[in-house]
Amino acid sequence: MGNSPQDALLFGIVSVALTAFALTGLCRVSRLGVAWSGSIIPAAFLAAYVVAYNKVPAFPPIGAANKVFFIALAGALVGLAADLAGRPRLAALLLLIQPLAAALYIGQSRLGEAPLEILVAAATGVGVMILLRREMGGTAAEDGMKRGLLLAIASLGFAPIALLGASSTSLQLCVIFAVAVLATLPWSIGTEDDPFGTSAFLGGAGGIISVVYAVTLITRKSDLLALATLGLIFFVPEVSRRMQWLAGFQGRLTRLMGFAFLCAIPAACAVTIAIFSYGSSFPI
Amino acid sequence: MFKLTRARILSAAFAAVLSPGQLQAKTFDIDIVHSNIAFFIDHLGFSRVIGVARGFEGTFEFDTANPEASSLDVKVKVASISTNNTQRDSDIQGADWFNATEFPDITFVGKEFKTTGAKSGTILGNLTIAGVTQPAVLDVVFNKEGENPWDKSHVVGFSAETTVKRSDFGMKAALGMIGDDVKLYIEIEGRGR
Repeated sequence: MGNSPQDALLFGIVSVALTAFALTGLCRVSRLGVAWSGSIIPAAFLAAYVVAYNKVPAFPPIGAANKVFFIALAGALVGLAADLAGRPRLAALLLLIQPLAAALYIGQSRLGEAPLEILVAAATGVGVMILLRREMGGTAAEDGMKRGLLLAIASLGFAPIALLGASSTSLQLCVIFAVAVLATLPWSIGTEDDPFGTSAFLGGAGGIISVVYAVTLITRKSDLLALATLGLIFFVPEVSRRMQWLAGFQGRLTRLMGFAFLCAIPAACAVTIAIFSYGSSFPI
Repeated sequence: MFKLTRARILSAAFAAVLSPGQLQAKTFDIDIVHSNIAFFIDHLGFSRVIGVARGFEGTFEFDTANPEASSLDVKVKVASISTNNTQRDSDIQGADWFNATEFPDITFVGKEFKTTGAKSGTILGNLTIAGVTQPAVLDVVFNKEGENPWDKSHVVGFSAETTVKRSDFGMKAALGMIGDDVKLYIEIEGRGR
């Protein structure tokens, strides 16, 4: 796994990203269908978890960090089943239920002492899912790619916030996952298949939302101002839809790059806030 | 049969050494002012990071005539663990490691007390960290029992150590860089009730 923490992280990034890239390509070439190719994103989350935590947690899970794995796993499986069954209304309902259930499950031990915190976290998670699911002004494929880009950039933005918020393992998980998501996207550039299926919502986005829950509700040392700033990233699709110059770009790749640039702005601001508000030395 | 007899002889010998005569089985509260818990864990092979638990409490029963009938119950406050670095302490108290919010205490409950020498013994017990319980054996050295000259209280003192694997408690991140073996050193003074 490498001789240094950097080597280990690099090994995790490269191995999970290459696997995600290869599997997505395999799905496309073998025409397995969008339901299966959409499962690569949650699979990447699970792989990132295993690499970062160096384990598959025992079931039933003990503690928030272990619960995250099974929330993502359940999300991936349920999402895949919903897509294979062709039940979009059920899928839409699941997207609202999952962040709520995840907040209650992860915040279980604090329900008595801080129900309002759990409620706010759950509402924020549901809001994120709603914003992520809204139409983003392009075709299904382009919107799916935008969702992947947004999720990857949000994960990259959250990584240093997690680190400074006392979860170095979440930093690794977020970075490995983000790069893996980006690695799946090139296969969608020339197709009209939506790369972001229900399992990507529930297992991928739901997984990252659960990580945020664990860091904010259980570890409770994350910078909330930085986190709120990062949350603005989920309004980027609405903002970008209103930007005529962005929609006017010829070529999907150019539009996607413009969208990614807009997503990077709140992410960069959030990271800057977290770094500036952090006061002590970090032990490497 | 031979083993049983030998165990009884050893037990009696241990008790004889420990017992000044008038001492009886007694319940002791851990005197935190004169007790310490420290742990050592390897960092990249260069050194061992030292951590201490500043907050813990517990009671034990120690019968000088019959040390094998002792009992022990200790709670360590996870939030009190310090490795002399705020960021690292926050990390290890967080959800990925000791998880102070969900599992605020590390506990050790002694189950089996054995004598191994004139002033030594072992305690097999259940160690619970982050909601995971594993057996652990403490190697214990009896130091002294008697009257504290300052306040005339009845005091007994022990030194103990053990090694546990953090991976046994589900903490497997960064293995190979941060050691798996965690060496625990414990110095305990108990004040008789």
